[in-house]
Amino acid sequence: MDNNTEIVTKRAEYMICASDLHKCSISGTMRLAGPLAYENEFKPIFECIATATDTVELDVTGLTYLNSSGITAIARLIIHARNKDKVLRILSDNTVPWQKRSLVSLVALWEKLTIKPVT
Amino acid sequence: MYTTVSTNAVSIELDYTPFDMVSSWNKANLSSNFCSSFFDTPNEKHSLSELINECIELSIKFGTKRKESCKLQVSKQEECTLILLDMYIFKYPFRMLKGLVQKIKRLKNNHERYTLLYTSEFSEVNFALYNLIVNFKGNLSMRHKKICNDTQTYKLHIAITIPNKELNCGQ
Repeated sequence: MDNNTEIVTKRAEYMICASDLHKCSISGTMRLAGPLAYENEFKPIFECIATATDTVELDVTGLTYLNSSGITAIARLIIHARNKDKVLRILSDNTVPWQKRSLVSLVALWEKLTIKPVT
Repeated sequence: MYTTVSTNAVSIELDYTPFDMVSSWNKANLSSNFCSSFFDTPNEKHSLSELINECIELSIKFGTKRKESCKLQVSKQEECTLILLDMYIFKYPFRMLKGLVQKIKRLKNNHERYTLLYTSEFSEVNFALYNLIVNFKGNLSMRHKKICNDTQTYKLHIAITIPNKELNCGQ
C-alpha cells in the first residue's frame, strides 16, 4: 500500500478503516457533495482491493446514511474489483433501510461479489 | 422552517437557499435529519431523511438563482407521503431532468439500467432519481412556469408521492 495513503480516516460524521490486508470498513454518515469527493476518501479501499491476494471484505454495517453519490462510489469500488478480478464480500445490515433497498442491486455488477447481511 | 404535527398528519416546510447549503454542505444532512425526526417510525425517519437530502441535493445540482429561496414541503397523509419541491432551473437542465425521468420510467433491461446508474456521467443524479421512482415506487411529476423578464429560467414545481408502506421498507 502507498505510504502516503492513510489507512484510517476519521471525520466528525464518518470513519473509514483499511488497516487490515483484506478487511475494510465504513461507518457513520456519509453525504459528501459528489463522486469525486468519495473517490478521495475511498482511496485506501481502492488500494486494499488492488493489492489483495484473497477475498476482500467491506463492512458497511455501521454506515447509517449514504447518499446517491456514495452508492455510486461503492458501485465504482465494485467495478474496480471486477477490473482487477478480485473477490469482494460486502457485509450489510438489513435493518438499515438504504442498505436493504440499494445494496442488493449492486450484485449484478460483478459475479465475484457477494452481499452478506449480518442482521 | 414550519412544522405542523397533529394526531394523524405531519407536515414540514423547509425554506433554504442553495447558496447556504453549498457554503456548508453538511447543512443538507443536518436539515434532512432534523425534518425527518418529526415522523413516526425509525424506518420512516430514516427513509425520509434520505429522500429530503436527495431533494435538497437535486435542487442544488440542477438549480439556478443560488440566492433565491427553494421550498421543500413534506406532508404525511393516510396512505402516502407527499414531497413538494419549488426551485428555479435553467431551460437546458430542465430538459435534461425531464428526459432523465422519462428514461428511467422506460428502462428496458439490466444493461440499460447499469449503464445509466453506474457508468454514465452524473450517474449519482441518475441513481437519486432511480431511487425515488423505482426503489421507493414514487410518482414524480413536474410543472414549470416562465418567469417575467428572464427567458432562460423556469420556476419548477416537483411533486413526488411515495406510498407510506415504502417508507417503512415494504412492511
